[in-house]
Amino acid sequence: MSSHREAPEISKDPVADNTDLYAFVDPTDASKVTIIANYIPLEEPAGGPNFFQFGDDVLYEIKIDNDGDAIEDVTYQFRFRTILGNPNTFLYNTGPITSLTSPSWNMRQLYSVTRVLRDGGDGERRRTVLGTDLVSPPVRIGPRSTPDYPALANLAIQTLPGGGRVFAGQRDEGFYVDLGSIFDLGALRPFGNLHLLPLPATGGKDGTKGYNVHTIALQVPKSDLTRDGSMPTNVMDPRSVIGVWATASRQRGRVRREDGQNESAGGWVQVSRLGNPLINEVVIPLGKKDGWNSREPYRDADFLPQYQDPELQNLLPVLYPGVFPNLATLLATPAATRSRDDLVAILGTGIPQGVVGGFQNFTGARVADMLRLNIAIPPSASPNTFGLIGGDAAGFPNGRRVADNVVAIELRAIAGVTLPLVRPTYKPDGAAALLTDGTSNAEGYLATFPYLQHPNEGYEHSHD
Amino acid sequence: MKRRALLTKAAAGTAAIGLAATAISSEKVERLRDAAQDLGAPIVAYVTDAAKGEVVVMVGDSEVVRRDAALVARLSAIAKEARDVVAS
Repeated sequence: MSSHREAPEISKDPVADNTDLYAFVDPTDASKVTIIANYIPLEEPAGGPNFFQFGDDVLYEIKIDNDGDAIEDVTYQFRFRTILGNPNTFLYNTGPITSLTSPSWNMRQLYSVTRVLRDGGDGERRRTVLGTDLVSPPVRIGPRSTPDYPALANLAIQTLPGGGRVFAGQRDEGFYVDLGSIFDLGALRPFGNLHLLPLPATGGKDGTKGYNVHTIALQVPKSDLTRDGSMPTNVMDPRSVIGVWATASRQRGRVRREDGQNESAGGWVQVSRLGNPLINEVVIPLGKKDGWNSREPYRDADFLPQYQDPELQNLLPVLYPGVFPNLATLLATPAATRSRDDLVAILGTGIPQGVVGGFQNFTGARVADMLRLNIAIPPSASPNTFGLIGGDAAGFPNGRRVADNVVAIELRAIAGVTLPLVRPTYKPDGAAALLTDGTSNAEGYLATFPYLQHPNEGYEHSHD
Repeated sequence: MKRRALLTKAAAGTAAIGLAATAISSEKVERLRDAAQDLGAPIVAYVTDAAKGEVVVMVGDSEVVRRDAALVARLSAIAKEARDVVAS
């Protein structure tokens, strides 16, 4: 998946598990950027009586680098605390929840938002609390408990000082992928008949359909994110590009008390992070995944070999014999002579000027996993879910919109579609440009902030 | 090493450190106890490198790394006692 249960350690700590990250110029207000960080993979909507919620003991952060060093210049921190109204019932709610102050709502979460700026020179941090005791809406239980959920959840969209907005709560999983097939030896159902172990070709099955996640969505003026407080309009200006990633951290020490409670102590230690989709999932090998999650992006240089010669690239001709002859020929040459510098650029440094006409999202030579967004590029009037490779520069890998088909984009890129950008003599295989897992998100998306659809309800939902 | 011998050795180490501890006045001990209570949160000590005498002391969301060979030696001696209790 994008980054769901992608590493051994974090798969055991779902509350702190980054699942997806989106960043795009807001289509309803192009003076702003929307950033969405999702956590908690594969929430079964009926998972009561203790439904999913953010971790009170987790520090959630969205980080932005605006000067190309892959070190955060602007950070938004989110901390949650749970309020238990009546400890003498087992119920999450004792009647319909019809407002955010409903006395029937027994277990609620409030949260705070803090903006941290890194000043130049000495690296000193300046902290500004943007909001406290903001309400996270209840989970979507069913028609008796949460009867008009969209109206209820919309009440939890909060305004921040300076013109921003924030939402933190449960949403439909907007990322779509055929989990059941891909993790069955890299099979893509539409091409099942061509697999090394063939099965009939069929349409894809969205493995995340009917599941929820917990979302932190932030909409802020562009000028809050740029290095000089400007509103960039020149696509080719390096100041127009920001790098975004999200993290979750836990305190170093945790003590389990004999009354069933826990106490934490010590500094915050990063346990999960996410910039581009599928990096830790597919590019980083098992033995390095936990370490990758704990590392800051500016220290990603060690992982350069995984971008230059990704394992999946080498598997494709094996899993699909005869389907990728040009890729197979390329892979027969020494690895040192065929570095995938297209992937290094797309996923590691941003795409420099001169590679794609009229476009760049280059942050410098330092390889770092950040979702790079050129905020001078306006939203597309007719978005293409294939983003830049579909001719739409407002989509992935220029940031990432909620509907972008990142699985197909990255499959096609790894299969060689983007290699001619740096190796003009290479001719991609015909199949490379057709690769897809055949999925889409049946629930669709909202047209306005926070863009991810209202969550699936426990009472009535279905999986693919 | 037999358990009795280990206990004796551990006790000797503890005693050596205990001598240093007796040099602290009861008034100072009282002040230290008050300071710990004022923190209002559990204190966790994590010996990261016993050979270097390195210990991380954590409280709330703060932590400090100290090189304090005497403190680490004392904690190590107590840890040996704890291990022995579990083992017995």
